[in-house]
Amino acid sequence: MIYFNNKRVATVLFLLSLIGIAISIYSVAHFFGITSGSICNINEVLNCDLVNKSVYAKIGGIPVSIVGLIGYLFLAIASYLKWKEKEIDRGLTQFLLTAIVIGFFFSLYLTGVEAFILKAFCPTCLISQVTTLLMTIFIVMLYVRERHL
Amino acid sequence: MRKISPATYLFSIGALVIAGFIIFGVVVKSAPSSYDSFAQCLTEKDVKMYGAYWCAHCQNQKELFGNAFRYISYEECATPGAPKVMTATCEIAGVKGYPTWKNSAGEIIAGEQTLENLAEFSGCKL
Repeated sequence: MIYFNNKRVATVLFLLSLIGIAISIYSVAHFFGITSGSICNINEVLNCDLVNKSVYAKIGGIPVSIVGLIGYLFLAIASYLKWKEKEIDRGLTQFLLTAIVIGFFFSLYLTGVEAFILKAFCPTCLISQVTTLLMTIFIVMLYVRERHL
Repeated sequence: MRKISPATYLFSIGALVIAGFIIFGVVVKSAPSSYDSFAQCLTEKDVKMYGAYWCAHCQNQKELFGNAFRYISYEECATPGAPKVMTATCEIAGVKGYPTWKNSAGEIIAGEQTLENLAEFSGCKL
C-alpha cells in the first residue's frame, strides 16, 4: 500500500517536472528571441518581456530559464527513477529533497525580485513557481513518510 | 558487491553542474574586456547611457560592451512599480527612447549604437 502511494507521488512529481520543463523551454526560447512571448504579455504587471528580458533574467551570466530547465530535468529523472524503483530507495528521495529545496529557494528569490524590484510578474514564471511549490509539498510528504517506515 | 544507488550519480552530476555554473559565473564576470579602456574613456568624458531594464535594445547595447559595461555611467529610467513611466532624471535629461546616449555638451543620440558610432560621438579611441 505504502509502495503504491510512493509510485503515485512519483508519477505526480514526474508530470509536474514535465510541466516545468515545458515552461522552461518556452522561457529559454523567449529569452533568445525565438518566440515573441506576446501570449504572456498581458499588461504591465503580468508581462514576460519585462521580466524575461530584464537584467535579472541572468544570474552569473547564465539565463535563469536555463538554470530552471536543468533543475527540472534533474527532478524529472529522479522522479522517473523513483517511479521505477522496486524497493524504497531513500537516496533518491534525499536527492529529490535536496534538489527541490535549492529550487524552492531559487524560486523564492525570483518571486522576490518580481514582487519587490521589478513589480511585474511573468505568467510563465508564476506557473513555474506554483509547480515548484507543489513539488516541494509532495517531496516533503514523501520524505516524511519514508522516514517513518 | 554493494549496488550503488542512482541517487549517488545524480548527486555527483548535480554537484558538477553547480560547480560548473559557479566557475562559469566567476570567469565570465571577472574576465577583462578589450573595450575596458574605451568604456572608461566614455565615463571620463561624461558620456552617459540612459536605459530601462526591460528594454531589449538596452540589453543588446550592454552586451556589445561585454564586461566593460561595468565602467559605463548608466542611468536607469524605469520607475519602480511603473516600468514604462520614465523617471524625472531621464525626462529632464531629454530622453525620448531607449537607449539614449548623452555627452557633457548635452548632445544626444538615441537608439542602439555601434561602438564606432559611440567612438565618433565621444571622441574616444576604440
